[in-house]
Amino acid sequence: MEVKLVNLTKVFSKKEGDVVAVDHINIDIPSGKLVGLLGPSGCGKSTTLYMIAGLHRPTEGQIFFGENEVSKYPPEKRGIGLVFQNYALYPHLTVEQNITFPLENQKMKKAEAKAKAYEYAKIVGIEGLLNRKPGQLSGGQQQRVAIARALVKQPDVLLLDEPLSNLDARLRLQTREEIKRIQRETGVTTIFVTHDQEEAMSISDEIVVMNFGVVHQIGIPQEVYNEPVDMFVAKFLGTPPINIFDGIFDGRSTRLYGQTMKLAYDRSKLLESGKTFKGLIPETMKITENGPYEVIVDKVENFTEEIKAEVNTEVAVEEGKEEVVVEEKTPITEDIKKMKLYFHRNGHEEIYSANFPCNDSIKVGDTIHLSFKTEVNVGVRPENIVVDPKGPISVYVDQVEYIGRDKTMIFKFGKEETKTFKAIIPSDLDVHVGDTININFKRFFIFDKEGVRLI
Amino acid sequence: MVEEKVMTSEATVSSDKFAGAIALDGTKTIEVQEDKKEKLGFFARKKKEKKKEASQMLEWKKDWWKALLCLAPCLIILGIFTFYPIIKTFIVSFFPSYNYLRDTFGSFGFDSYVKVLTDDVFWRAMFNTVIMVVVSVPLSILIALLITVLLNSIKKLQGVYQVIFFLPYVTNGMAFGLVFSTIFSPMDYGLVNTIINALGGSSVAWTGTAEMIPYWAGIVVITIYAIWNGLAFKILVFLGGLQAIDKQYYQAAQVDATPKGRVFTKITVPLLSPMILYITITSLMGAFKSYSSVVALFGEDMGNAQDETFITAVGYIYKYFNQVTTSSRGATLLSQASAAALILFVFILIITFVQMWANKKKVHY
Repeated sequence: MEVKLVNLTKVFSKKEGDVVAVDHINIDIPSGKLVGLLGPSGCGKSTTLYMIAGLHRPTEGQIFFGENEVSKYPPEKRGIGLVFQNYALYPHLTVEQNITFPLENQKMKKAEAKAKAYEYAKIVGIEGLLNRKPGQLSGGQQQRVAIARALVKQPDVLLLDEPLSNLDARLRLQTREEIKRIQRETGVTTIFVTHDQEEAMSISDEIVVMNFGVVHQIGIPQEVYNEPVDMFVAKFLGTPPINIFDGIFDGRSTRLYGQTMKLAYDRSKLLESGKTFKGLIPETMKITENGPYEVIVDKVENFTEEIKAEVNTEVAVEEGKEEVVVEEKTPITEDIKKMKLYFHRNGHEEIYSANFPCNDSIKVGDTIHLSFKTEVNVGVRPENIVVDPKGPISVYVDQVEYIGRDKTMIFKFGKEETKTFKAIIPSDLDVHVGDTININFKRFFIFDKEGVRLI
Repeated sequence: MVEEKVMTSEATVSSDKFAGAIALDGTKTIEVQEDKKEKLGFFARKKKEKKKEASQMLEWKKDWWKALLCLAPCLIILGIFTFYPIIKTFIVSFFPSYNYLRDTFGSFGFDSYVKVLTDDVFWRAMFNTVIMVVVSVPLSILIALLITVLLNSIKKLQGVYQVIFFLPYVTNGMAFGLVFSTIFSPMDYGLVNTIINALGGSSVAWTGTAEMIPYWAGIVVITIYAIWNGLAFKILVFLGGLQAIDKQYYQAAQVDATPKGRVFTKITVPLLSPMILYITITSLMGAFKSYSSVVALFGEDMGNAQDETFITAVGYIYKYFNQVTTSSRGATLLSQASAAALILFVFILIITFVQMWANKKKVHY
């Protein structure tokens, strides 16, 4: 069953004011797929799940199961199976009674229900525990019982709320594979919620990355990892997390902490996107003949700006018999002729404006070349940093952590810097603390200051 | 007798002081515990002390006499007012000619038991009591449960309804009785009789002169009184239990399309079972001991002066105990009262054990 969320919104009204938990999200979940809703806590992913389940009523928007709009249906009419975070198994009933409970609600015959319970218990691998009470089971077993109970009534959609968060690390690895296997065997459209990116990446067919009630990116896990749309997604996926360097892009190359990085990237793409205009540093804007940005002038406004300044002058003063030189401050004002240019880029609508020193040769309709610098963030995943003697960036090795298969190098730009970054390098590479080495980036992303991906 | 009492209280006071002194002499942990003790009730304090001592078995061996001293005030009071009377009752019941005034025992024998068990009045008392237990206990628990579930499902004005149902718990017994006597007045203006008259029936003598009250009407009034009287406390306990149940069980049931009745019988009742067991046992005991309600409704004779129509088991015991000083056969009556008390005790004990055993499989903790 395909699940479609259209403009789904949930606002919680509280005394302190309304809280928008989910903000007009649109998600299409293809039939028979395992989809993970991923995001930090409080991002609205559980609220979304509960809205799909029908336990929360959406403030706005629709939910479609296939062709049917189910937004107005109560949970029991939606044909869903829900596995709660703490499983919510009835403690006074045996495993078998727990699994047959939904079937008995449908007035199914006892023998039939038992046979069905056994069938699903076998799928999740708990057929030997049918007579136990939930309290006598381990966390992993309880979770399987909860999944069996959700699946036994053959729901169209299976919903899992943080299915692995109550399990220990080893069991979590095992169970997530199990969930994937069960989902594949039953072919039921499954939506699960998690804050653990590794968990979501490893078993989902598709992941939905959310934050503050907004969907950032939807896609196949590897694609989302390789091509994050913005800095939030890039930062949220991957352990150790992506390194974010402060950089300055001047239209030709990117500088990192004072070091020029000549990196092989398609600069024209960055220039064309026009997004570099957003983070530009106004003081650096100049009109130069070979500037990288080509713009067309729309309007020229000349004006004069009065600049007030104080000039220090040395004055000789006679003091008794001696001459003493005394500094004196003299205020001066100067009128500077300036112009405000309105311009746009060829083939683009947006009109920008900036102030420049007066230049009479520039007229409306002229094509001029600009240069300016833009603040950017450069994101590099730790595994994409390579130690390369010819690399453009020289860094100071602060610490080396040995993991076994590879090692983590913690480095900074200069010994005195406090900000550190991580790189994963092969364990046989000889790197020592205190070394200054050159590195290069295999792959990197450039984001503007607001976190929007540029390239 | 008076002298003895004074001496007891003196002993209590002095040992209390002594306990305080010990605490001051003791280690820091004991001092901290002293502070905690202030907040707890007297008996809870003692219990806590016991627990603490038990957890420090090694030290306990060394300091058992300190523990004993700390427990002394409680033990002395309990000993004089609880343990001693229980033991004495037990002994006296086997000495039919025990003389209360002279404290002479006479010869050992089972005559008192034979007398009680062959007494028609005793069996009437037991019959009345059992009827009250069998009718009022399950009925009151069921009603309390239903009210609690309804109360919990109401969203608007929940607090107001809670207050209404808890009010009887803090209401004075006299006010309670007055309201009750108005509702069940034997006259035509009584609330119940007004309704009966309006429906075309004739007035029933619910209360008032004992000779006039039909047996069934008396039992109905007692039962309703017992249910009403115990309702507030039961609702309080059930509501506490109900609100402790994880909401996710209900959400899970909702997702599984569970009908309302099944949610009640398959989820709410089992998950409340520890509370239900507690309430069942306490109200069973309470019903077996019912006496004051009968006296309040039908007077000290508990019905007709000749045959004591509505006498209860405890009423029977008190009746004979009261006659000790007034009757010429006083001494033997005390032994008889003691025997009746022990029979009632054994009865309650057996029923409680049966209940615990029966519930072992059903109650989920």
